[in-house]
Amino acid sequence: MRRRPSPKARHPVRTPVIALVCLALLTAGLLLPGAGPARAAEPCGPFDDVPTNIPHCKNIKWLSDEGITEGMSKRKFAPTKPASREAIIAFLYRIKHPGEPEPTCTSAPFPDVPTDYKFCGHISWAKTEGLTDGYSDGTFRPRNPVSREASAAFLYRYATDRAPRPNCSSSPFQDVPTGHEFCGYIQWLKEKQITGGMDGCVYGMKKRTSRAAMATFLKRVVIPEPVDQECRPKPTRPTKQALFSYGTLMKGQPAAHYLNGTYASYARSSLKGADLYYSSSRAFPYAVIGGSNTVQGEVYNLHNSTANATIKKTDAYERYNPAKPATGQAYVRKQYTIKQGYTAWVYVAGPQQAAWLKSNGTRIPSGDWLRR
Amino acid sequence: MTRPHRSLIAAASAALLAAAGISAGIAGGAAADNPAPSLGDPAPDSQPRTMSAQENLAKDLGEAGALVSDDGAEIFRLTVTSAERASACPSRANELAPAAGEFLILTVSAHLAAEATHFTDEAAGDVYFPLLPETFRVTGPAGTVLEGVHTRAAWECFADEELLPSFIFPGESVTGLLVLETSADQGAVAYMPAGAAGWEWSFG
Repeated sequence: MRRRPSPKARHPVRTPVIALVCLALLTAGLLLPGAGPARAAEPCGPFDDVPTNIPHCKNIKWLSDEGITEGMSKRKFAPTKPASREAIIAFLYRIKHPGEPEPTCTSAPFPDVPTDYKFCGHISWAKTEGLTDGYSDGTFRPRNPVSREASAAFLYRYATDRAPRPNCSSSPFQDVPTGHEFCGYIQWLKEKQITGGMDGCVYGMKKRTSRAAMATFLKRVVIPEPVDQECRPKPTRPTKQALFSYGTLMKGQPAAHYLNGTYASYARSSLKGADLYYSSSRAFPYAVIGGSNTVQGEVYNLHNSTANATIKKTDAYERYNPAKPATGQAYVRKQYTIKQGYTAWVYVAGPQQAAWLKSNGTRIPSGDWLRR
Repeated sequence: MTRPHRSLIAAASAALLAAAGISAGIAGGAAADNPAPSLGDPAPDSQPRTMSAQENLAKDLGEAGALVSDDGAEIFRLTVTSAERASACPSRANELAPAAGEFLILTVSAHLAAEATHFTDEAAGDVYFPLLPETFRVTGPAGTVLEGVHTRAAWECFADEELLPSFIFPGESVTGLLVLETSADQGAVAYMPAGAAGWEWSFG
């Protein structure tokens, strides 16, 4: 309920109230967009939720430019959301029939796809074309997310004009054995340079196909391009636990003694996708996750035998209580992939702390506490 | 320190007040504007409001500053109940001595009404007040704001369980210690969460 301000609002001591109320609203996020020092990446094409710096951008933009999608809602593509079975069918239909009106439906192709269903015409077309037979129980389940293995099958059938299921002569990815029923489809997908897998090494058959990945698959079906398919195994860290420090725990800094004798090795390192802030205290920094900047620091590969005790001690120093939710904590400890390619514990600003810093703190452009 | 939001704060204040429906002033005394029954029954306010040189509303230790709504409902209350100077404090790691100056150890209580969510369109989980050390400033006897009171050594004092939480959420009442570092043996400590005027309590 809105309440109109009373004459008391003009009281001479209003200023503190304004400050406090503004703060509450600022911290509540009402004033944050566009006002803080952090800048969001440029949007990709017509979609505000697709940054230009992600590899899928050009493919999502192509999908839009070709009139194959208008997104999920106004200016939203939802790139990380799973693609639905009906979406991939609709997109394939539009690629096959450029500029044509959306198809209609005279009879239900599946019991769960009635004739008045929005995508009935597309799904009916897919059934007629032999792209899908639905599930073994006769249903199509149009809203279900499409798995990456199912995507491979859809794309194969579409691109080969219903060619029989291909044999699988060799395993295309580490997680796709030759005897698997989808191996042939996935092998074809790799041979046609439509996929490089999740990281060149694995395909992730049972994982959901993201809408961004689907856009990329579809574009490569239509416009082939070289795809990096080299398998680069992720580096393993030298010890079981590593700690990335970017502030007072670093060598030569006031709290460096906390880590004395606790690590087998250390090296300069960095953390991508984070900003470094300090507050008015200027006494210690906070890494705020998000954005395209990099925080500089050091990685400490902790002795296996004492790693848990070390982490417990640094938790206490950073005032992080792992038994409590992240909400309200100034620092929270999370694992992130660092420059060396393996994961390390990092104390980053908690959610409210991060919001507060964006409004009241100072970002260190270099991302380096030692070069602030 | 740059404050990119300051102009925005100034420009948006009136609109925000209207949007939030909050228009009353900070209570001059703990009970000036209908204190919430759950917070006790402090003495009625008969004192005139006193502003400090920093345009903070002056309070005595133990006296609450309260943010109240148009209709007298208390939204937020903060009390500094004690301010003690100490030459040492127990470190969370039990390894460090204090750096420079002396610690100023405050005992602070705060309450944020569950109804605080009524004054914003945000979800309850997104409404909170910061109680970070950086939201507290120290002024010396001459009224000048003292720098360097938020030190790493002060940050390291006391176990987490003894300390004031960093943030308070609707429906919460919290009490804990908050440690600053200063060489001033008397002055005032102010709660200034937006860097602008707030409430202040004298010490020494």
